[in-house]
Amino acid sequence: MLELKHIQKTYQGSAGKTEALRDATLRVKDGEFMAIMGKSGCGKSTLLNIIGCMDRYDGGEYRIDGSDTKDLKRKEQAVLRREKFGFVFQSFHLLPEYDVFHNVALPLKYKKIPKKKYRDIVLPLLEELGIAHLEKRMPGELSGGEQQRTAIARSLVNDPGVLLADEPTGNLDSENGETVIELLTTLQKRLCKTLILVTHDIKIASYADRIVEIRDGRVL
Amino acid sequence: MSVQHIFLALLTESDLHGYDLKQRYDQLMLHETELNFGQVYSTLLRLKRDGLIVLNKPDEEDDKKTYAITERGRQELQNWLLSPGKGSLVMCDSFSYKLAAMQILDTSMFLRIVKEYRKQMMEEMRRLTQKKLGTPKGQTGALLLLDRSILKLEADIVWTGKCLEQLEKEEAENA
Ligand SMILES: Nc1ncnc2c1ncn2[C@@H]1O[C@H](COP(=O)(O)OP(=O)(O)OP(=O)(O)O)[C@@H](O)[C@H]1O
Ligand SMILES: [Mg+2]
Repeated sequence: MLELKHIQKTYQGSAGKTEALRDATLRVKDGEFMAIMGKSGCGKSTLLNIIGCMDRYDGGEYRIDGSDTKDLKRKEQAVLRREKFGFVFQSFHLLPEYDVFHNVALPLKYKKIPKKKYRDIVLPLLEELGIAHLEKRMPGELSGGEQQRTAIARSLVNDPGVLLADEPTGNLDSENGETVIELLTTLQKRLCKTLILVTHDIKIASYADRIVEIRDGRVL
Repeated sequence: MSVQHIFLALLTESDLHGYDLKQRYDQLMLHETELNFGQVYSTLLRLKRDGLIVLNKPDEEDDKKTYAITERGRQELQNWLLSPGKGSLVMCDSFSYKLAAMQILDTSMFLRIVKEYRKQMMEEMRRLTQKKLGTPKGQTGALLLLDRSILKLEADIVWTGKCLEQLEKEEAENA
């Protein structure tokens, strides 16, 4: 369970302060698929980054499974981030010098899993996402939809409890976008993952169990 | 009213009881609107009065009443299907009437209603999307009907976003 209460975040930029989040209060249950909707600049990515322990907040309270995250040391934060969360981004973030298989296997390195075991973990995921036949391709040789499916496989390889997706269909045409959101929804349900997905597109948000809107840094 | 015509369409397939007509109607409308038995009865009465259907003679083993479509009924169904429909194709839902009234009410009321509708429509869009996901791929007609409802909702949701932006700007300027 993730619980945010009155979370605030102000960026100190070169051009002055920006209040990215004024009051973000929400609660996400385990196994729930929640969509966060809002216009460009309303604070969606900021919120997702805070949820995923990628960024710090300035005020309010954030509890993960009951424990407060305020006093976490950097190292503890990094461990939590790796073990609890999987990330999917709009622009895929695949490493261009690795093939599909090794991109997906990458997070396993940190878990000190022996290399021999990689295949047993990675291949079923590639199959699930319909990209097993592409395992030796480089990211540059894939379509956008295939790249995103690779990124989704990578986000799941550590078996995280929570999947965070920031505009995962933002760089895809509507057909590929639909394939990707259907895959995400199916996987989320079958693997009982919590999924928090950010989008400005109501069509994509409609796949969720619940939709919340952010306007001007406030969760409505 | 269109219930009559859906009954006529159903009766082109086979003669049916009132109860079957209700069941099949609800199915075709994807259970989004369901008929009560009062509506079934009054619709059948009207169709019979206008000579569009007839009541079959109850057969011996089965004493339930079944209805059959007449030649006039078939003609009426054809006319209905091919006629363009009267009046506006869009300004005919209850939301349109409320919006029309909003033109003479104040902005804060307008804002409140649009926000409320936006929430409801987003929830409705979510519900219909889930329904679509649960509908087997072979049911083309049902899927297309759902697609249409979803697209219409999407248009209205995008519109409410625009609306809120505009009205909030005006309200801020006037404050
Ligand atoms: N590192 C930063 N430094 C300064 N300001 C920032 C920084 N990151 C984001 N912002 C500002 O904070 C606000 C919220 O940004 P955020 O990236 O969360 O928006 P968003 O809802 O994800 O938008 P988009 O849909 O365009 O991705 C914006 O006004 C943005 O300009
Ligand atoms: Mg963003």
